[in-house]
Amino acid sequence: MTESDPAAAKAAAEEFRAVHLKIKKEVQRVIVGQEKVIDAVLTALMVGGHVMLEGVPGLGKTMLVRALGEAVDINFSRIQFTPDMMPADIQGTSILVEGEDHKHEVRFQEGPLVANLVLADEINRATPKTQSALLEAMQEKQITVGKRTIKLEEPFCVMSTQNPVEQEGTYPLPEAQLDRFLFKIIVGYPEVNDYRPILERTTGNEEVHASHVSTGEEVMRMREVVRGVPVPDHVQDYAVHLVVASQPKSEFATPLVNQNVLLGSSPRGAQGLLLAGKVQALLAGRFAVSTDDIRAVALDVLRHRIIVNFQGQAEGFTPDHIIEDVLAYVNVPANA
Amino acid sequence: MSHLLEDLRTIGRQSASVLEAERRRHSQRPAFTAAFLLTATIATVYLAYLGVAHWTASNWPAAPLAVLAGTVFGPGVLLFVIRVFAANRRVSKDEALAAADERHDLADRLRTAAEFLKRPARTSFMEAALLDAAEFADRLKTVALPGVVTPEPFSRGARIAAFATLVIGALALWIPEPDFAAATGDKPGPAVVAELGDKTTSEKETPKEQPVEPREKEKTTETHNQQLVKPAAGKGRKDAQLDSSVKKTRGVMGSGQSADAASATGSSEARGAPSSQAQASKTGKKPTKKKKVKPKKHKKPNSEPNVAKKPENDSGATAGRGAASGSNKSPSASPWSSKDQITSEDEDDLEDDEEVDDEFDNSDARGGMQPHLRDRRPPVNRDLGIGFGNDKNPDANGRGGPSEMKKSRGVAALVLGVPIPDHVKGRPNPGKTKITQERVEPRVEDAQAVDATARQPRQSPVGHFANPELESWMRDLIRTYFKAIRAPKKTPPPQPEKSGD
Repeated sequence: MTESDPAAAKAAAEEFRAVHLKIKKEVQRVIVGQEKVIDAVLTALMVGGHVMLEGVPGLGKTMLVRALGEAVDINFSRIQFTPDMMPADIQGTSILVEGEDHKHEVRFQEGPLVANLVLADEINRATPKTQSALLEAMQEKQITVGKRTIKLEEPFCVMSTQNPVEQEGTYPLPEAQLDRFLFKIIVGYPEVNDYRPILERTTGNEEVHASHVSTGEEVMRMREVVRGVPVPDHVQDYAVHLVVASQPKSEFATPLVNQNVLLGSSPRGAQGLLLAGKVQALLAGRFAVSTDDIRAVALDVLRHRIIVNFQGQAEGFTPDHIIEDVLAYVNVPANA
Repeated sequence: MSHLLEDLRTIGRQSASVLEAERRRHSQRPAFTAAFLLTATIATVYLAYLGVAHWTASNWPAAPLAVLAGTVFGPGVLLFVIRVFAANRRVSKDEALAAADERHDLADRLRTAAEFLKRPARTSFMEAALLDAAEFADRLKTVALPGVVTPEPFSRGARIAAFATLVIGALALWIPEPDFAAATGDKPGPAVVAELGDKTTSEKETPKEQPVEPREKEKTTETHNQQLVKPAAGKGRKDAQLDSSVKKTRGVMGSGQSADAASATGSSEARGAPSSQAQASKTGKKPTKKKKVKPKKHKKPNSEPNVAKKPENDSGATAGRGAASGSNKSPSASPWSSKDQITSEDEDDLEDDEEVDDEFDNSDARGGMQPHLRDRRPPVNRDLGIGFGNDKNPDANGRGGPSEMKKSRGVAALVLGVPIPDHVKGRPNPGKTKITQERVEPRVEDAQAVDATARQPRQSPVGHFANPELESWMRDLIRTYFKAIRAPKKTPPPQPEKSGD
């Protein structure tokens, strides 16, 4: 794409929509309904973000990520987090192996974290020690074991699931971990009309699988396209104002935030708003991010970055209530 | 891109004019309401002025009609004009384009294009965004900005308020300055002022004061010595009599306190003592000891025949069970063997909670990090040394480390309606659940608020101590003694005897 070539930009945007659509259609062969969830997961894949899927059991969270791993020809691995899991179980460790010459040697065995698409199933069942092993991988796309540092191959994406109920015996993710997720997506129950195809696909003899329709290289190219989408100043200011408004005692904080929020969003929240907004703009056929795109992704981007304080919890406020209040309160800057 | 720039300017101008007109319309309604409120207030005040002047028969001056009209209607009109003009500020180009984007549902295309046009260097996506915006701008430059539904500046309520205001204002202007002398048939004659300035009276006033009683006449005379005599003094006297009768009635009623308030206060005093309910932690072990500690003294067998049948009800420490018949669920009011022990529906749940607590106690024995459990309690201190932290524990006996925090009994029982599970130590299952609940309907009590006042430090001794202050030499002696027995190496604290239980 040459500089100042609008035709190239249009072609890149067109290609992005085509790639997005074919992956989405392939995933939808396996997953019925949940279109917003699929869009959000694909958005995270296209911008290089990580996703936390939260929903009660049986809604297809794990199947969605598995289908995505099948639709895109990338190295997919699944980690079932358990309370007795150790960091070495997911990062890898040195093991004693016997070579062809019958000599023993210590060799590093990579863990399941060394993959392109990692499904961290029920991530809150592992101890914080093991959860913390994901921090470096998620932020710096590398893992360090002893003196060995392994660069993770791009695209690298962690998609984790957790169950909002049955919190007994679980370890809530620390804020540092939550902040590294681009999205926290609430997976809801399917629509009534979706039940028939779900039952038909899952109770017959044939098991539906997704096929490879895209590759890791294509995903990386799409990421470059996304990063090239410009953000006007007033949209950038709007995203910043939203993030600052979620922080209690800040300049734009709403009364609801001041009373009921313990911790607001970090600057990573603003980064996430802009990145996800770029994908929204491309999918809408536009070439620049608008404030509508920011508003569309605000809930998914910010809900896990806001901690409601004790008073807010007692009054029944959730992060979604806070974000909706902030969206209603903060206006688009008149003059950027 | 010059045509795009021109189109954006055109759209901006059109949108700005529409927005400014909308703002003017929007500002009219609140300005209208405020102006009428102001006018109505001024007119009402003037009417009140006339009324007071009429009833007090004062010779207060009246302004000319033109001044009155200006005073009544002028500020309202001025306020309306000021507020409408204040709202009539110019709309910037960014605001106009943002409004056009919003009302044409363009997702910030125009405003983004205007911003990208200002940038010296543009990427291909920016150029594409400009081309995209140019199509919309070319289409919209001839389309007027869709207006929003603006409220009627004169709504029905506003019309009614305006009419009422006009009526009040006209009434205020129409009512002439009352001629009080004409109204009463008297004209204030020339005041006769004594040379010494001692007494000022009217010529025709004296006969009217004859039926007045001597004492009241004295008062009237004294009043007349101080001020000019009013022509309608008889009327004022009637008002004075009315006032005095009102005062008298209020005095009989007893400072406004009703009988209900008095009874409420009385009941408040009767139930003033706080409950000292304390849950017996080992009720089953020492029932007789408790009875010995609190023997019943003032028995009235005739008035309370059931006392002998239910001795447990009085054996508790419930000094303040209130004016109600008392709760037979009180934990300390009846022993476990009592037939009055009521098992509520919540009891099973609470017993389950007890079991969970026992599980938690077991889980505390697990090492390492603990999962997210219900209680979020910190793990039990596993320090086997004697003492708490760095301080020596005077109660430690060297056996098994410090004990866990003692449960505070009686504090939670003060909170009515809180079910309190009872722990029985040394038994595999928890004891029965006792519920402290006082079945008294809450009532509103009227009581005089007592203002806090500053108080000096207490000067006299409290209680039966004649002189609580020690002499300095005695204080030093005691301090030295206790420091000596608490010294860690010299004199270790005496070990309590090991009991066999």
